[in-house]
Amino acid sequence: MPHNTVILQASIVSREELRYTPAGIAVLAFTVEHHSRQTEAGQGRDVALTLDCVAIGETAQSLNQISPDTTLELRGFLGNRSSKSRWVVFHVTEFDLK
Amino acid sequence: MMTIARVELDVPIPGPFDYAIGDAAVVVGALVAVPFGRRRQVGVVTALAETSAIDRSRLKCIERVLPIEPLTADTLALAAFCAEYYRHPLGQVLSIMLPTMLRKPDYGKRMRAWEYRFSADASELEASIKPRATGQRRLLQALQNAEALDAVQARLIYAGAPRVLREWVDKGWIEKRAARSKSAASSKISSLGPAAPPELTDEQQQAVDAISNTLGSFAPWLLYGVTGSGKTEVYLSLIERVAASGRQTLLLVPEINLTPQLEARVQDRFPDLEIVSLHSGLAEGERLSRWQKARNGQAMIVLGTRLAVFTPLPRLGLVIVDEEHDASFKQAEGLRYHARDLAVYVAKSASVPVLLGSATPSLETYANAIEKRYRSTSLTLRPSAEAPTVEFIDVRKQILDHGLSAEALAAISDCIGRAEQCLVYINRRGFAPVLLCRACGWMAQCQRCSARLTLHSRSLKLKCHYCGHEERIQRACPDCGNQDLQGLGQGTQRVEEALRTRLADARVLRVDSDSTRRRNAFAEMRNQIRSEQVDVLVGTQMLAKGHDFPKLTLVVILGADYALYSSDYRAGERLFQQLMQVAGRAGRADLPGRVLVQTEFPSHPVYQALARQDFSAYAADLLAERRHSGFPPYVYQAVLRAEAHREDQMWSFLRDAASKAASLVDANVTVYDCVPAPIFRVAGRYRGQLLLQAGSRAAMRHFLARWHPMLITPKASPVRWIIDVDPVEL
Repeated sequence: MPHNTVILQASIVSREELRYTPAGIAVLAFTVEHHSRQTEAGQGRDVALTLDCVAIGETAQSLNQISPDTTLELRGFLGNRSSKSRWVVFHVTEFDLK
Repeated sequence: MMTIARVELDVPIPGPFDYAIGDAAVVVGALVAVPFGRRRQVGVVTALAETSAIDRSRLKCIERVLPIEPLTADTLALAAFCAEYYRHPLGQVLSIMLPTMLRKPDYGKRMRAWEYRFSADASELEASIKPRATGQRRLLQALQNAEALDAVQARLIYAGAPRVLREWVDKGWIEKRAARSKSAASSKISSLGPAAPPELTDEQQQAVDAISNTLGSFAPWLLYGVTGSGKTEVYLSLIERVAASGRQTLLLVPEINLTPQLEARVQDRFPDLEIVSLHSGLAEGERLSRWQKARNGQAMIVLGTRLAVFTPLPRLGLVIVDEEHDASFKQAEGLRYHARDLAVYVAKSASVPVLLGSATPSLETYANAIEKRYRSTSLTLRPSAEAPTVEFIDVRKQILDHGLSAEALAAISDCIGRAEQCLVYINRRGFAPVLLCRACGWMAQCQRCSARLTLHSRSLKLKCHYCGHEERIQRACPDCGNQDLQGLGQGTQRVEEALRTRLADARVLRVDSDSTRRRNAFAEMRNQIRSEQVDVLVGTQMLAKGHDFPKLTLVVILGADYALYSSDYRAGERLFQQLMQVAGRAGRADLPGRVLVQTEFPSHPVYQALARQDFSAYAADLLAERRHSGFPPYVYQAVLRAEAHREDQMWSFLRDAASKAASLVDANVTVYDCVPAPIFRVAGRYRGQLLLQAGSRAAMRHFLARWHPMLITPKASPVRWIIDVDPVEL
């Protein structure tokens, strides 16, 4: 399978209300912030990232319980918001508390 | 010597069929049971003859004559007219006209009905029922709740009832006896004595006088009366005069739900007159007994939905069609008759006036009135209320909350605050009309129809509103696997849900064909509304028609723009009628009404006409448009509708029909191209249509009489087709 894996340490800064699909599956849309120091072309630099995320099913429900500003390790993949948009959304499939 | 009877039967092959009379006493109009193929059927004798083209040895014999009076010449003439005009087999027309009980070959053989009741102490019976025998338990409860249970009811309660009841009778727990007739008691509505007739307004009095002057001869009338102007009072006064001269009135109403309300009102007014209501919701036996009362002249007032137009009325004095513009007067399948048009025919044959009443007359009727082919009289004042004010909410630049604008929500909340009721009108049932995957663009589609599936959240189902197909809601998009599927657009369920969460204290009631499926559900809801146990109603057109809710002051109309996209030339007319009707629900008695319309096109002529509450100006515009573009009522249409499982078969049938039409070279009739139906595929069948137009009714009739026989194929064809004369939808 072609790679599309993202691992990111970040914390939730805002969260929409937990909603359910017509088939009853939980969906949570939220936004995370990430700050770190990375190396780019041999040069250390600061990185700040704000990223829209979505989680589905049990992951959505558990993330809905997490108190904001908790640092999490999020794992998942990237996709566009819709077939008509180039906006990137991080689909979180697993996470751990850090 | 007449030894042959020509009999019309309920079969798709054109009749009549010859039968030997034998020793039965057969007259024209008699209902007879005859063998047909392997079955037995009831048919109607339409002629007697001395000879038959069929060899005497092969001729079958009439089995029995049903013990009921033969149909009269008038009834047979009405059937013959329908068969000819609507191009439908006469045998089938006759069958539709008769109550179902009379279509049974054994009718009248075992007339004795049984009923059951406890003979002694029920404890032994109760002890005998095993815990899991729920059907038997239901029967027991029914026996306990009623004095006696008849065999038909018992079967409805539990399919195994005949066996169980026999067993209980054998054991001596219950007894069986011949049922006492109770139709007389049950058909009478309790009344507190005659309701005093309110004094008529000048306008009403003028209408009554004018129409009364034409009693005793054929005269078609349009009674144009704005909502709340008291059309019903005019009907009642006329009925009183007609009944006083010993004549019957036929009163047709569009919807079955409206009959109990009107029946009660009529009965209260005339407690001494026999009133029967006839509609498709009646049990077979009840329908027959009411039909007979109408037929023997005992019932002075016959109230019913479109089918009631076929009721034989020997002493007819007046025909009234209430809400004459309503589309439900047109039968949508089989014999596609229009009850309003037939009402005019019936009145003409009986030489009595026919009164077509509406606040938004059909353009057909309105044009007849303008051009003086119909007389007309109008009620322009509302004695009991002011016209509602109509305002628009422009939703072009708004983000809507489940289809609701902030202004609409605020108005609803204010209305509840004043302890008044409000109606949110959205003419689409279900939760959302589309289930969509935003990731790839997939939408849930019916496999058998060219239509999308509607999302129903309560039952967690996707339903096809065209073929009835149902399936579970997908957990993930079948194309790309995305689980975040979304409902797009609004239906009644979604609006109901949104209102419940936004207005937590409000009592919300949804009224649509899903929530009223259960018997009597609608009547119960009506009572809830009238007794003010409801704050907000969310409903479809079911609620728009003729119901008076005194506390209802606000009407919010959602999703009406949808109709503006329709390709049907009648869409504007229908939308206007619907909006005027639903707007008329707002404000009665002493409370002023307000109507809010959410739209993206507030300046559209249909909305502007609604705001002015001006039917005649809008109708004049529409009529000018119809005349200019050559549409009804200035031309007469018929459409040949064909469908088949294989698309090529459907098209070749239609093309063949079109070339046969062309071969008739009739300059008075235009034959258009074969086109796909608006919903091309339904329940696996491909559907196409061919439109014909003529400058006059007579030209169309003449043409169809020549063309229709050319279409009939002798052998079983894979193509189903029908000619829809005066179609209301294309």
